[in-house]
Amino acid sequence: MKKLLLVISLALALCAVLGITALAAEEEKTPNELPSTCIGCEVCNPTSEEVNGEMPPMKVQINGEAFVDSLVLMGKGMVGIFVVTLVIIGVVAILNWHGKTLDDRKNKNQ
Amino acid sequence: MDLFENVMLLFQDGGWKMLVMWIIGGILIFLAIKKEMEPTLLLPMGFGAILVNLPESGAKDVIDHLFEIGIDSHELFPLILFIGIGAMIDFEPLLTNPKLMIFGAAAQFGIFFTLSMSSLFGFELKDAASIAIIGAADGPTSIFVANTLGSNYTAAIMVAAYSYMALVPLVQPPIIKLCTTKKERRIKMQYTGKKVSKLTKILFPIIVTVIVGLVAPDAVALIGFLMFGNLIRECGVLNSLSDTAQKVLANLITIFLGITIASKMTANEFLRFETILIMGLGLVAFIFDTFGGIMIAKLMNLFLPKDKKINPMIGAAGISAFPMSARVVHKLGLEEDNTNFLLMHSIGVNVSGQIASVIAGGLILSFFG
Repeated sequence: MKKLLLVISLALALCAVLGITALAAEEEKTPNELPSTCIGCEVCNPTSEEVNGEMPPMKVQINGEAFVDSLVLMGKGMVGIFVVTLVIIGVVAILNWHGKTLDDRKNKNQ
Repeated sequence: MDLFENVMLLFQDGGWKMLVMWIIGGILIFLAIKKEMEPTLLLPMGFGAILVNLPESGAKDVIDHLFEIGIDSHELFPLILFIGIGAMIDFEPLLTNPKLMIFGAAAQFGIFFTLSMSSLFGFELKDAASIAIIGAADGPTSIFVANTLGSNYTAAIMVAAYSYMALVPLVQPPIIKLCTTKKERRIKMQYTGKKVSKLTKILFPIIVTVIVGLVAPDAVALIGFLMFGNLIRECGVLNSLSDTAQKVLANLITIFLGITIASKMTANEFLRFETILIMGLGLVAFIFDTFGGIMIAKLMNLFLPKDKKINPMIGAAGISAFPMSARVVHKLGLEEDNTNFLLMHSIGVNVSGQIASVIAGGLILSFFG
């Protein structure tokens, strides 16, 4: 029980740290300052595509906004998996019940 | 002088990176041979890493071509490999106790948790999703998803996925022990060994394909090929095909798959800070997969009567790394009590993890595809 509490506390602490980091990152975020003539070309806004055959180095930075967005996907994904799983469980239960009924009938006839 | 031209290339700008890749290739070969960690894949990958990092390597074009036809174009190799895997899997332990599928589903938590973590570290969403799928603990699914999403880090993802699958016996026990008490690890579960009808075994792969295909159409190739392999096994009239799929086909594709992945292991693509980050995130995925499976078992135990309690360790087998994860759980059960046999339960959870990981891959593809 103590270990469970420890694990839950650790998980909560981790969530809290992540949440605080995400909020802090969001507060620090400043709007992109682009010239008014910007047409959204790739000169000052290169994509992640290869440049001269080499991948540009990725800037590792805390992205709170993307993290918050991904939490929604996490929820959707887990709900999706559980729904599909429950449907499959239901179908297997029906198949098993059907198989059992057939077996019972066979036994009765014999 | 021409004879040593290529040797000199190693000592010129960036040449050291090739030497580092040789060392990495050597380590993979060492792990495969000496430690017997996923040797079927780590050995070809290790050798391939050396092969493509020789200066002006003539093998690179051939391996690139293999990648193009076997992975880049419609993910042929992982899909065909899934036929073999499907033919190897016996779903009977799962069909006798379908409730076990809940653990397989819960053990995919690590995938979505890692998706969030990867996003937090600034990876683009398609890369974050591809990294997260390492948590599927399933090589072909990882390759399929990473390649379909066009991730920039396919090689690192492959290496992480297969390395951690091989490291399951080292990664999982400490997490399981941390999340469970001694008393919980000693819980004995009765195996009823109910008989499953042949009709159920035949209908199961067809029905699962239809259900998953309707919910996550992007995953239908993966689940379809897996279940096709299983149908060949269970139908009872294609024994020689089933045998070929399990042995010859699976072995043949595995040889090509390992060396083909090496096409993405060139020094410029592989030796990056992100590779280390991806390896770390892969570990996070495995840890939280294990955590998710165990926690759902603990939650269920709160509502179950005393004599029907579930050993929470079996939840950890939901991570799909088949059959290592099931064996780890069984071994831990025996360590606590040498009369506690959890193998059949953990195998059931393990094969359900195989299905759930494919569903998770399909959902990720439907979110980002």
